[in-house]
Amino acid sequence: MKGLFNKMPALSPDYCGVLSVLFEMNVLPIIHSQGGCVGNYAFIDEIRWLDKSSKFVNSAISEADVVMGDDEKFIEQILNSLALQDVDFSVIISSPIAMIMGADLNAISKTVELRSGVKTLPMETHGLEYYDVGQKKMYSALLDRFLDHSVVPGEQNRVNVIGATSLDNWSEEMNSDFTNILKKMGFEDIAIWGYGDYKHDIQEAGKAKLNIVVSASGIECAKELEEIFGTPAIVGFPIGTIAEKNYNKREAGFAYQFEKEDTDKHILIIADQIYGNEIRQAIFNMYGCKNIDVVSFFHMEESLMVSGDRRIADEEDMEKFLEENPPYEIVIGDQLLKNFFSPDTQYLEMPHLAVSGRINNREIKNVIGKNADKILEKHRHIF
Amino acid sequence: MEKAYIKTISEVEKLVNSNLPLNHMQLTHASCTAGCGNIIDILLMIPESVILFISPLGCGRHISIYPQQRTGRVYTCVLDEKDLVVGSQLEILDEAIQDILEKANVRPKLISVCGSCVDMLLGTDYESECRILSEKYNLPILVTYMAPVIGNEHPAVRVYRSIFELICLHRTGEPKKLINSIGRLTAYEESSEIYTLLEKCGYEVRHLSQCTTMDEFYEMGDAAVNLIGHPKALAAAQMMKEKFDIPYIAAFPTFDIEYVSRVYRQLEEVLQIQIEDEALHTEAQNHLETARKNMEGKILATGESNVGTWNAFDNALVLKKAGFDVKYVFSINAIGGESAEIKELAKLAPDLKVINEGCPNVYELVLNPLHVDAAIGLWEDWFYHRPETKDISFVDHPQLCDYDTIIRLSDSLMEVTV
Repeated sequence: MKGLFNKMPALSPDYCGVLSVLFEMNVLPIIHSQGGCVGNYAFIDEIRWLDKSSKFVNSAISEADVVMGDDEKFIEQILNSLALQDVDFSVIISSPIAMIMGADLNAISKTVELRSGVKTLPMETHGLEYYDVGQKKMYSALLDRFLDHSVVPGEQNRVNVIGATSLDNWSEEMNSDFTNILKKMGFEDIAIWGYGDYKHDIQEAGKAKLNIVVSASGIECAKELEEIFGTPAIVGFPIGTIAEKNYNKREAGFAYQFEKEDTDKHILIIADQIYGNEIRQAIFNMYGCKNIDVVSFFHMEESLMVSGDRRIADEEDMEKFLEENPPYEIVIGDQLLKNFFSPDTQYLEMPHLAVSGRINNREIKNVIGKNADKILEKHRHIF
Repeated sequence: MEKAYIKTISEVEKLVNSNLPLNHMQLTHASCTAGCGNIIDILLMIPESVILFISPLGCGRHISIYPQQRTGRVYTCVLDEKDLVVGSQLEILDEAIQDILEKANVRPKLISVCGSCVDMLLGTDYESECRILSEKYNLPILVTYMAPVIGNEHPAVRVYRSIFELICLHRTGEPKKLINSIGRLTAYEESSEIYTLLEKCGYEVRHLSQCTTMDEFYEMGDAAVNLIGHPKALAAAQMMKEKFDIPYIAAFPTFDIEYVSRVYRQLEEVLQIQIEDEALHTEAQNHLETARKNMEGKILATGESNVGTWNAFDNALVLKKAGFDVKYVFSINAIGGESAEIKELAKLAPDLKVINEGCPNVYELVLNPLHVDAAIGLWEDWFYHRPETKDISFVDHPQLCDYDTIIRLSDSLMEVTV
């Protein structure tokens, strides 16, 4: 049945996507919700709490708040919170209850901004969609609010890496390794969108010579920057030594090529689309496998798909997809998706935090460059 | 920048006494935490049943991700915007139950349907619909809500009441030599003396999680007494007292030896039995005293981050009185309900520090952990970067109201060697 989850957990919601984009910025996110929504962020969907500090507050909506619709109380709470924090801006994030209440986040944000002097962005996420939708909305809102359109396009030797949050399986270690690769390619200034405080980088995004999209939620943002400044974008990051060597030859554009053949072992990768495509290429580079499909519960860009790839809506859709396809001999995906496959399927666990969360993972696998070789080499026997 | 998350107990007492409307410690800004609380974990204790949780994705996320929720008995039905706008939850409910029954290897003997805040606000009438569906599928359906926004009571209070209302529908009226342990997510440990002490008197102690069949589950309606392990189950116990004259005794988790003794005395009075616990009482006293000596010069923190533990202020007070150096209390809950303990602690140890786990910048404590030698009942992340802190989390072996808990705590404290 559509929307029914039993074999796998419900996936990370949109507001967690928003919060993952903001985690390392000097911002105060205010979640207009009750406890569970915040619990997802504090205890499940953000692994960086273990290594880093961040700020957020929750309005803890009560029945009286819903009945009375007392926005003034909420505004007062926000103003009190902002008075305790020295932040660059704040973001007011909606939730299912705020949606049902009809809370006017635009008006509330404007009032807060007027009274506090702190730039305040409304974020209409309702906890109904997956995390990638929230990320996309947040990147877009940040561009709308902070992007400086007056800069000279490409004036700095800078690259923007878009979509590198922990929910996209990016870690500090991966950023560091990827930064080194980009430096070797000649870039001096590398702005990772998702890690560190990159508000200033967003403001000056137009100065970059290149945008690199590393998760599907960053695609729209890169397209927008291409439209405004004409900045070229490449999609993907190097997984495996061979990909690393060839990375500087990647062509700009939102296209993807993989010569699929139905002759090898049937392999399925369940991941973020861009991550999945890179893993597919790495497996081909190492083992020559060509019969590989990539599916994702999250956004799938049509131009980055090849035959056999598909966007999966939910558990029912996953079951349908597996029924329609010949059995997969090897599956690469999050450990909590194992239930879909028979025990004799070779399963290579590649955790995706948006699926299994921090509850079931204490670290993110570093797959940049040669790091992936080690992981794939360990599983040589299955390919 | 002000460290809003840390205050002395004296400051906290002043805030509590100020009677300001917000129930969070800082009383100046919004909080990071509140409670949807363990509803699914309570429902999972009903044997031979499955749970159908209908909600927006965000709510469904945190009731389907934890290991105990992934045994195949929890079905999460995620609503989209169209469902909410059109109000199609009742059609979805029917379809989902049909789907569950068709796919189930073993037909469940009960389905717990759990709605969320949005249903309470939109007025979705699951109760009426489930009466119809119960007949249609010839299956009992229990309806409840994980709706922390609505009402003044915790969602768990509603759930315990619903469960025991259902149990009491199946009462035979013939009293059994049975003592219900209700309100905790886990039964007394196998090592607890409560089983043997009461077995000698002819009584069985039963917790919801120990029922393996629906028959055993329904037998709890004929119990001689309810032992309340948490205030969240009080409403259910009161209902059983009023309707069926089943008495109840508060037996909240504790490290207080005399409190445990008093609970046994109350049981003696209610059941007209004699419980021989003197030797265990002395044993617990000796263990605690040995632990206290080992902990001289060492710092303790109490918390309430996980379901296995208890009110951090109460634990701090009991341990402080027993001579331990409790320096920190980590509180995740609203403080209003704990004002008696706060008042006493403020007198006993005015410099005791209270950490509000609901404060926006409190997470910096994960990176810069406090100097604590033993952490009792705390979220493990607080000392992730300080492994030398002894973690006595009570996750696997919960804190209960028995001498066994106190002996286990004492033994853990004996392992603190810093």
